[in-house]
Amino acid sequence: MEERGAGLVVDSDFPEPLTEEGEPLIHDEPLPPQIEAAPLENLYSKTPPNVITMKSDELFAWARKSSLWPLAYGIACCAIEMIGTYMANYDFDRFGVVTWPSPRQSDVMIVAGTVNRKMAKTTKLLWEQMPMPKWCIAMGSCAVCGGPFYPYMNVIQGVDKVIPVDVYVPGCPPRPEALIDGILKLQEKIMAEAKEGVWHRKK
Amino acid sequence: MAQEEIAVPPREPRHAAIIELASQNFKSLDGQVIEDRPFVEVSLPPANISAAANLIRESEDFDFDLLYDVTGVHWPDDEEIELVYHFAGLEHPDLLVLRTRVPQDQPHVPSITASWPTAGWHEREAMDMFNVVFDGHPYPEPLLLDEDDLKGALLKSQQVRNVPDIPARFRERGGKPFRLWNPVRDEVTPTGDGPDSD
Amino acid sequence: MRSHPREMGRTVTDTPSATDLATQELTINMGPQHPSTHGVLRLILTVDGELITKAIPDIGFLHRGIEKICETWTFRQIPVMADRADYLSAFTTEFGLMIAAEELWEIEVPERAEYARVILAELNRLASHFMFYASFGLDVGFTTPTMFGWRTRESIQDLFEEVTGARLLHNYLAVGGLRLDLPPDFKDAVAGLLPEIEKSIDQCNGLITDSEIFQARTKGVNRLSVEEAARLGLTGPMLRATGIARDLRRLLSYSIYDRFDFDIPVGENGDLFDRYKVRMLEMEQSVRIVRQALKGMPDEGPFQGKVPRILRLPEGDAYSRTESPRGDLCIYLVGSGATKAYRVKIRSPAFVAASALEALLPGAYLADAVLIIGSTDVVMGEVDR
Repeated sequence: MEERGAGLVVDSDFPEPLTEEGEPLIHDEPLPPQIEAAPLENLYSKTPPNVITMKSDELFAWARKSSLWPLAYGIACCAIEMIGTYMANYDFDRFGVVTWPSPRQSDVMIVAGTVNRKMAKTTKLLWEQMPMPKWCIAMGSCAVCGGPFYPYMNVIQGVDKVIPVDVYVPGCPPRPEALIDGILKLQEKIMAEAKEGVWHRKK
Repeated sequence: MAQEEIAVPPREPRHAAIIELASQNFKSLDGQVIEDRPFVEVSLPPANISAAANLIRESEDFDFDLLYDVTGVHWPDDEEIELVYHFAGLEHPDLLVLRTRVPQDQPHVPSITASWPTAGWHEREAMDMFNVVFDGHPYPEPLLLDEDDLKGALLKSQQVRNVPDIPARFRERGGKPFRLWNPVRDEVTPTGDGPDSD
Repeated sequence: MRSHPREMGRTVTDTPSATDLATQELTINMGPQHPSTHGVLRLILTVDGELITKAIPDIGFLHRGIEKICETWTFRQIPVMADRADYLSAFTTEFGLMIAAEELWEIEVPERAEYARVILAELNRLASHFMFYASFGLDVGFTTPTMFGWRTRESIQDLFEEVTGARLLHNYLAVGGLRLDLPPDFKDAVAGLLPEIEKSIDQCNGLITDSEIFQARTKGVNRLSVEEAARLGLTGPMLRATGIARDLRRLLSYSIYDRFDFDIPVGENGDLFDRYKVRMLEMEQSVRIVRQALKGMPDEGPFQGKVPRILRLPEGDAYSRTESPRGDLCIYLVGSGATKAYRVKIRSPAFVAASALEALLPGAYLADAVLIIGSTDVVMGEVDR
């Protein structure tokens, strides 16, 4: 019997390849029993092919929260822990978080460090350079409230005096796990905002 | 290619030699060697600081090649600002310290940037922190503080924000002094005192 | 390898771009938000074509009054501020502060605490140099060194967390010794970490040190002589790269550094490669020191000396000099009989290195500017204080 495949003639009379000991080279062992997977409980399984029914706000929010790009913007000690979070041990990429050097394409500003009066002007400028929608995470005690430096007149008591802050991550400096938790909280907040239609109202 | 090298052991501290050298050289500049100090310290009138720094730079006997810092200290009782210059050598452990005091209302000191270029930033810092004017500085711009109301931050008259008192419920708990945590390790040697005795 | 204008003995105006073609100087701003300025350093660069003709560093974006706050807190609280000055190697600043305070009080430090301080300071030097390796690799254009450097840095930070409870800023040293006793398995933990560090140093060296591309990029660029480095006030690896074996650990033998046998790596030209190589060789020496300190460290003994219950700083002043990973770290401490320090001045090597950029950058290519900033290893927390 001959079957014509795609440029390949399969001859069933061709002798089976054997090893030097005379055993068949290819074992036709039965496949291991297949585990029947439970039907997937996600968005795709619930909808007909290629059709998603959801509010467009939620769809966009779902896309936005899954790839948050923070501005590469480290100020002080907290920046070292922030870089540590990006690196292999904590691997921020798992959450779709990729650092980005330009404010023009960034979604999130992680203010990692003390903001003083001289830096506040730059922080404000960078925040205004970021396109909407944008979010801000105040990382560390200094960005939350001035931290241990609050008695000094040059230090601003919290970056929320300059720009709006969405998530506060306390600690001096916060552990990488705390920053990851801050990002997860921000993701929750983005979805909640979409459900409430915050962006729609703002427009 | 970098290489490893066992350094030569440092030369013997030549404390006495530098004291003699300083008392000879700085006599014409009204300099007085301060007695019983760990380093060689010379007190000078502010007008002669530039000449003294130049002398240290030019003279090969002194052998001081590094300017460590220009430190200001405010003494409000005397209404004076003290400026301390630390000079170090490359291959010996000695230090040479110049001290001068300027009145707070007329804080004029000649700049030493002509002979020690690295003093530029140290002097600008003292300018910000103590409102000292360094005459002849090539770039007398603010370094750390760019707003005028913050100038003189390290003067004792410049206040800081109030530190809120710790509420009483945090300070005492059942008559015992409050601790954030109790030491759990068994082998704590009872020498010295605990971490929060003040 | 391309020739460098400074190497060729030409000044900037002699270059063809300045004479043959009509060019115009352009002023560009770099920072304070720039991924390669190692913090919030701002540089105002004037360029003529590809060559930098003038550089003005602008600092103060992280000035948060560490010295002022040191005057308002009691002395026991000050190490918190010392940590935050040089946040890449927190133990070194604490160490310097404690040496100054113990000089002022004339307090003896027990043997075990001295050894623990040296071990922790050297491990922190390793962590800081791994960070330098990571960022310098990234500045040159490699991504993998960043991952390599941070991996081992994380291991060292985990050890610090076991000992002090904090990963980055420890607040662990106290006047007369340590604030808390060491954990019982301290020596085993450090000894277990050392082979990993040594292996990692070898890997790091194998990755870029011998790489042809890396050497072509860094050798001969931005050369520096001993006289010029001293004139700029540079110390530490920047000065040793120019060929002079000056290390305060050997020169002053502060603490117990006279008991250890270690070499001082030096460079030849003071170029970017030498500055990098000196730090890499220093890491091996730090491992040597830690290994010797583990051998000599007593198992039993007090961790704190006889310290008065209420610390009042005596009238007078003290000046301590220590070798931080960036150079000579000096702390000037003035006491006035109160529990608060009258004046604390931190002479940071990074402050001087940042000021030296004003002289280092002119004459270099714009593409090398990031490398030159990286080679000074500035920490802005220490620059601005």
